Amino acid sequence: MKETVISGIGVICNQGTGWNDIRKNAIKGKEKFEEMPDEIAKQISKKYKIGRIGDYNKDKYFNSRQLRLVDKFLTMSVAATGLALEDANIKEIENDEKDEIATIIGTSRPEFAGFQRFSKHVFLKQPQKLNPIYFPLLARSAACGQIAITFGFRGYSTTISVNNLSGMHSIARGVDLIRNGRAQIVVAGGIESLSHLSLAHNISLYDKRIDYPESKFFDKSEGRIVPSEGACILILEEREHAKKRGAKAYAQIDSYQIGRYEDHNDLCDAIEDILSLEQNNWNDIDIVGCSATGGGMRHDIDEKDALIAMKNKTNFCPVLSAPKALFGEAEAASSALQVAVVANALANNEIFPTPGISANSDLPNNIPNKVDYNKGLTTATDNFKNYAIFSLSKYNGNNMN
Amino acid sequence: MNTRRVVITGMGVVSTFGRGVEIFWNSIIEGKSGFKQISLFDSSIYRSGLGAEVPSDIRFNEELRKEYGNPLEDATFFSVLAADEALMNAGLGNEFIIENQKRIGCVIGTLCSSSKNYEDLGKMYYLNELNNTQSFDPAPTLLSYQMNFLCDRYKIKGPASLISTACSSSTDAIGYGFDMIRNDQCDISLVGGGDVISEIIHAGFNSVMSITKDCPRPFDKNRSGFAIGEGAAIIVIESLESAIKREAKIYAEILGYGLSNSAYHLSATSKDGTGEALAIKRAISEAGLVPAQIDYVNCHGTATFHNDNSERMALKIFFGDLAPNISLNSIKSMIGHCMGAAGALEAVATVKSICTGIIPPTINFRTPDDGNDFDLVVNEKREKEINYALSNSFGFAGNNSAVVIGSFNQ
Repeated sequence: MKETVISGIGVICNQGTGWNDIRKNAIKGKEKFEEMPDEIAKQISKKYKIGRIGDYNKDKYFNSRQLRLVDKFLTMSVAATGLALEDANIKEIENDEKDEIATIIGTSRPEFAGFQRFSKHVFLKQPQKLNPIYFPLLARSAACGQIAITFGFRGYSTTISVNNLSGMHSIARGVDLIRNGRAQIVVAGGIESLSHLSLAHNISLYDKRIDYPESKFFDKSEGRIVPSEGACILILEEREHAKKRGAKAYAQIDSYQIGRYEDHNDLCDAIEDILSLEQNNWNDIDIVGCSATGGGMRHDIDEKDALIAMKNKTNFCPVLSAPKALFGEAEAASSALQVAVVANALANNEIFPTPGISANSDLPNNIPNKVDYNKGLTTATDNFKNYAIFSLSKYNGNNMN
Repeated sequence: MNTRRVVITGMGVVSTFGRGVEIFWNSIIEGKSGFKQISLFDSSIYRSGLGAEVPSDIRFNEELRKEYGNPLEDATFFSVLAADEALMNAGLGNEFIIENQKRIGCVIGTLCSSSKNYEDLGKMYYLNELNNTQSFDPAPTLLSYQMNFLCDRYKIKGPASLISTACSSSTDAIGYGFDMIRNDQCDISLVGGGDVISEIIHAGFNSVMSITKDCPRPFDKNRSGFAIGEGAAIIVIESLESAIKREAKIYAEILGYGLSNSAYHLSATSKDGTGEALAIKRAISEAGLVPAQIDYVNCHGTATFHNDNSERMALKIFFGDLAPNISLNSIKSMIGHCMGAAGALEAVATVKSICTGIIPPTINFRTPDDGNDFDLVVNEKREKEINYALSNSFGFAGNNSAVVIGSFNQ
């Protein structure tokens, strides 16, 4: 079976643009959230926060006319893909190879901005005022399509939408394509874009958790969820392909499981299935990147309870990292970021702190002075009983057979 | 690559002709048309108001809706009706599903599922009613609602996902489910999807002049576009070992699938057909077939000028001089373009063609287009033995999907 490594990471998020800059910010453990925009603040409160992206290199890929015609979720997807390809040191690509590069993107609701703009004339019964140029931007697959157009990639291509798990689902699909020999390079990840409509939607989706004063990770009580946006694109590469071109890689994706669960016991079963398949134990895990939102939603509690159950069974708890403490809840982008954060920990022995773990938590909040991280998991759940778990290990190009 | 064989053991359909695979099949082989003025919203304000709606005695049947778990969204309602039929058809009862729940998956493809709910949400937003005091149930406003609902209803715990590649979504979902079984991630999967006529999407396609004012005439020289349809098709796919163990009736075998991106334009199909041809080539190559073995292609065939041209060019690239031997049709001429569900409905029709040796007609055809040398099945059904068939779907953002289905041979 062909194996998959992560050879490039391209991220645009509230913590910055480009993985190296983001690492420098994230390692400090400082939140970078902003006030709600006025229009939404009227409905809730100005003191609550969102995670917005800043400047990014969209001009490199779009001229000023094109920028007027496309939405942010397309430009940030393309720019993040460019960053990921640069990070992977993939520069000149022959047309034949472009025909085999796959694009698999996860999204949740990035098209809401386009919907907000386009639907207005439908609600007002003014079809003659509809601008057909904006119609394709209602398709959530537009980000994936724009990446393919900009870079000329004509390999397997799809868009997956499973709420905040979408980014991980897209990476899982990418791993499958490599395993089955359908691609040697896959552009995979997640994107999310904030709009006034999506923020208003989030009030109900997050069960008013954006209205709390602070986030509480792995806690017993409810806390704040910070709606966020961004793009996290990974370059997945077949291991031998990466080796042949002398690529550096962050980590190897050993296995994954996606599925449905009823309670935390199902999540424990899934973790144990993965470990058993790999002939590993829970005690072998150095780091777990979690999907915890800080809001104490039902699915956060399920994830926490699964981690506590694993700790109680083995009297061991790996280092826990909840990237949403720094990046906010950027849905599809966040789950892809979880994979990036764990891959980065394995590559650089670098753990981003999780501000917001209270003393009230049943799980440890310490980052040990460990110098070598070899094995990591990501766990993710959503509010509709979907889960995704990934198992990664340190990539050691020198020791590859 | 893993060579676990994947077979089709159950199918269920809701279409403009009503509930059930047999009603759907009998209607399309008779060349019935499902089009009329859309009644779901005021369609008279648009350039064209033509569509193929699911009959209102299904959509607005509250008793039926309650019986099926009261889904809060129409595409999901159609989908659960189709899923129940498919599971019954496959002989899969609740007890079996619960006993094997971690080995049963679900992959749904849809474009407009939940769209009515977020259209309502958008209206609330414009009326400034969307605030801290006016909350709503967010679940049915999410695209994944359909997949979540099916998994909850049947207590599925295996791999589950949702594809949204516009009009190629459910063909793509069939391919994903096929991979999950081949990769031994599950033994059985519900694949396909449901979709609805959404006013926003109808308005959008009107704005780009894709909706016909006349009637859809795929591959006709004077074709003028499609009309949106709706419905659902759910297919039970299964590893051959599982089907044999259960002594299930096997309808056909999925032999391969292919995806590609044309990387050309966000809304237009390619000018030369090469991007679409890549998906076709991948599907047929994975099936281990050569072009001469394909008997029939159930085309995407939307009846827009450009789409039909691109598809024919893509087929020509692949089939070349074999074109006169390859029978083509487009059932969109009868059921409309069912958006994300189109591929699954067309896959069901393809399986039925393989099982019965009948190709449904492409209705409304009058004038042959220049340069066509394929065997178009027009206006009347055709009898033909079909061993291997291809079903194509193409969508916005350059997404292309193709699946190869063959008659089952032990």
